[in-house]
Amino acid sequence: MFEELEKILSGIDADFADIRYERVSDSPIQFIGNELTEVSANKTDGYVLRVLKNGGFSSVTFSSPADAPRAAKKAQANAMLLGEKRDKPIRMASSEKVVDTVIPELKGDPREVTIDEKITILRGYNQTALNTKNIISTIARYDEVIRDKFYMNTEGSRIQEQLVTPSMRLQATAKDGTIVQPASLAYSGRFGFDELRYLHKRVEDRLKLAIDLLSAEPVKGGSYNCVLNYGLTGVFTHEAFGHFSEADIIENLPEMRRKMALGAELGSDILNIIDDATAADQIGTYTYDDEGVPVRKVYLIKDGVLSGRLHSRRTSMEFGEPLTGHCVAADYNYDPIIRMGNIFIEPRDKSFEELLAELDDGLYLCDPQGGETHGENFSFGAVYGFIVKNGKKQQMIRDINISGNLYQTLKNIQSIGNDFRLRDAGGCGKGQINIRSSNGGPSILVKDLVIGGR
Amino acid sequence: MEKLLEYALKAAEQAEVTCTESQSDRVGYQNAQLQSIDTSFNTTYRLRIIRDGKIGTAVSHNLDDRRRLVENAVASLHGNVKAEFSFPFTPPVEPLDAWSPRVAEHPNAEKVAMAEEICQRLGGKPGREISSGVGGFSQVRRHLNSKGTDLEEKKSTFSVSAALTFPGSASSVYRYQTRKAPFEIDATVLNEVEELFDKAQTTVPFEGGKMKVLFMPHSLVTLIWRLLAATSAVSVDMKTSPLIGKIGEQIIDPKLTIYDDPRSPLSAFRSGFDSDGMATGRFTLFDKGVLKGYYNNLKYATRLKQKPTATCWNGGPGLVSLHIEPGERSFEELVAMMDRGVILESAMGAHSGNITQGEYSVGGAAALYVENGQIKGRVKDIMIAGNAYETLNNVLAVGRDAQFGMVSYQMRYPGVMPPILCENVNIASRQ
Repeated sequence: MFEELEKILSGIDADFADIRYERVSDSPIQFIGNELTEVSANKTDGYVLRVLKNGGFSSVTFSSPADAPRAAKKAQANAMLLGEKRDKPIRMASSEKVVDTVIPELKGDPREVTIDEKITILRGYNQTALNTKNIISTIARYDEVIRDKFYMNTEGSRIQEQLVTPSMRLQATAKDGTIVQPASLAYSGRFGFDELRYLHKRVEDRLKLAIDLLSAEPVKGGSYNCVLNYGLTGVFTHEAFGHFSEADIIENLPEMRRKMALGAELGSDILNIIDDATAADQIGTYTYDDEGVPVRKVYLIKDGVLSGRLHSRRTSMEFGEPLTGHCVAADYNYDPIIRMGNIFIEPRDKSFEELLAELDDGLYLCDPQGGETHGENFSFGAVYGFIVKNGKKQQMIRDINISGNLYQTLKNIQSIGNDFRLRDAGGCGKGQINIRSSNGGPSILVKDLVIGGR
Repeated sequence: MEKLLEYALKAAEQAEVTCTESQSDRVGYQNAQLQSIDTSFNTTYRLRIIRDGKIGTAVSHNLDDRRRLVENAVASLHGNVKAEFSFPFTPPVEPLDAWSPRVAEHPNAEKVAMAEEICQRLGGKPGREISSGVGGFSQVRRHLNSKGTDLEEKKSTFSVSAALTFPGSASSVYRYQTRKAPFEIDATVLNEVEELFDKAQTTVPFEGGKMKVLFMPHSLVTLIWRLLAATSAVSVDMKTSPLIGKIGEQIIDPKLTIYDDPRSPLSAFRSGFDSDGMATGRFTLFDKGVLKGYYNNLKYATRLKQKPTATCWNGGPGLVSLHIEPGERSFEELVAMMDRGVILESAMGAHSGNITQGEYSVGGAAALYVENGQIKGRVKDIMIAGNAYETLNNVLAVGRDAQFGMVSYQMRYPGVMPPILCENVNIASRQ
């Protein structure tokens, strides 16, 4: 493959160019209710060519090798046009030359599991749901995305890296009279297929939650002190803070960039936030980003102070900060952008019970349901929660959405638990869906969150 | 494609081959600085076969190995997924006037000049964070099947966007326009962006409660997504829709007529035939608030014994060209009707919550407070919550000026929607 890529790159007159070719295999299986509605095995491929020339940087994606000559011509023309029009030329931080092949060691290679066996396993989870009283519908889905990436640049790097992501998702809807409540379970095989064979307990727990939600009360809107469980802590960290540690988000927002200068005191001194895409066996783990840069662990906040940022080669040069290896594309349809790997708040020493006691009166909120950020403001949903009185969990609540301001909320993190855990499935929708972005953390106590309610 | 169809029919009783060949160019300015010029060329072939009542699929970017593509589709039959329908014969559809060769030919240098001009036009005052974008998209689409259907269309979209971002946030006043051929953004649109942005410069204190909310096109995703989730034939078949058995009933306010029409010249996404190869047209979801039907694809139409609605996209039922019929009120008249309330320019978190049942609870991304018909300033840290069916039964007025706005995060095709003023909406705040 590299010979073909080298041929394309050799025809380009530029200061720098790189090309990524990917073969992507996508093999979904889906049940809706009792019915098997989808089994397919799609194998596609494509290219992303990027060119830096005369201070301009442009990318062209194309699906057919026959389009390579016009893609090369277009990328060079786009880059030159961009360079002419910019006051400040685009430059790339220098990166080491890498020649490497990374094939993951899997505990159960999904390619060696037959379609029949995958269908049987998925049908088993689906049937457990359908056999549960009050469950009126299900969608059970297995996805298997295998990316075989070949990266090459004009500086001599040649990297092949495979990312194998089998995952399972079960959505169940419970109904009692006029009340209908959904609950879902998502799980990605972090290091292979084998994990997906043993999800029975998780499925049962999730189904019980769907049933319990039928008798939960809708939350009343207002401002509350809250304990967030690991999943919500993870989404808060990802949505509210993490996106603003991605340099390409703030690069052209002068006021955000000023507020997010390294050294800014953003939280109390108990707060450490880390992105570690090198952590073993996690869904957000990889070796090289889609610019061929080795990924490294980054302390984003250390003792409450902004201490690092996630970068591409371009933003690393623009900000004058070290490379981190976080420029990642969803697949061959996309130019890489800066993404989180595994982001989390570092655990401290408080037990969950101590956090509830410290909360006294407020809400204990669990598990994320979507999340979105607009600058310093964020919003995300919680699947369920409990009212807390005198440090004790009381009745269950539902229909919970949380909104807040990044800076205020970081400062309002009052205590951090010791019950650390990363989430079972990844996902981030910043322009392109990245199924391999994970988050998590310990339970945390946050003051004064605005909760929407009727 | 004909040869692929021929190979496929050696392995199956019915076959369908589609091809889309697309080219796009996009220029983006951020903070009034040229940031990106990107191009994409994409060709995709999709094969569907039906054998013994089962359906198989395969996808490729080229026709280099047709036999392999057929083998992949045959292999997927192994899953025993029931087809439940036959590929249709669709005679040639009336051509859409949706293509201009000038889009593919439009030089990126001109797009840069147009985007730069928008930045200059909006850059009249210091401290503004300005974004603009200009893009061109051209596509040739062909659909063949073993029943003799042979449809082809060419379409092009030229799009222009402009935004002013509130400093310190990524929230903005944003407008987007598209046409089939290159054009310059309307001056009135830029004026509106500036005017709203200027009126939101001061952050004002705000106390929550029940009040009027003017849902602008960009925030209507909060309500419309709920309606779309409940009117999909999939939700009806799964028995999760609260609208089962309610065709012909008054569901939302009579001031609201909502329909899908991919042939409409107002649409951002125009197409004469859907992914099943059915001729598209106007499909009314709500006529003066009365539910008229559920949108389906051939599979669900057969299963639910409904008339096909020609709304199959990406394999399932979906609406790609939603329209809400405009009312008569200007934006100024709508604001004048608000004694106390919020103009919700954009919302955060529309994808959270019990969507099918209509529940919503969204953060105000860009929200302006109105008192006695006057915009007082921007409000922060608010959450707007309720049930879409209740809110859409509390409609006071519908605006006359429709704009593009997202209708869900799943089908990323914008709808053409006017602002809708609702009363008795609950807003929570920090105060």
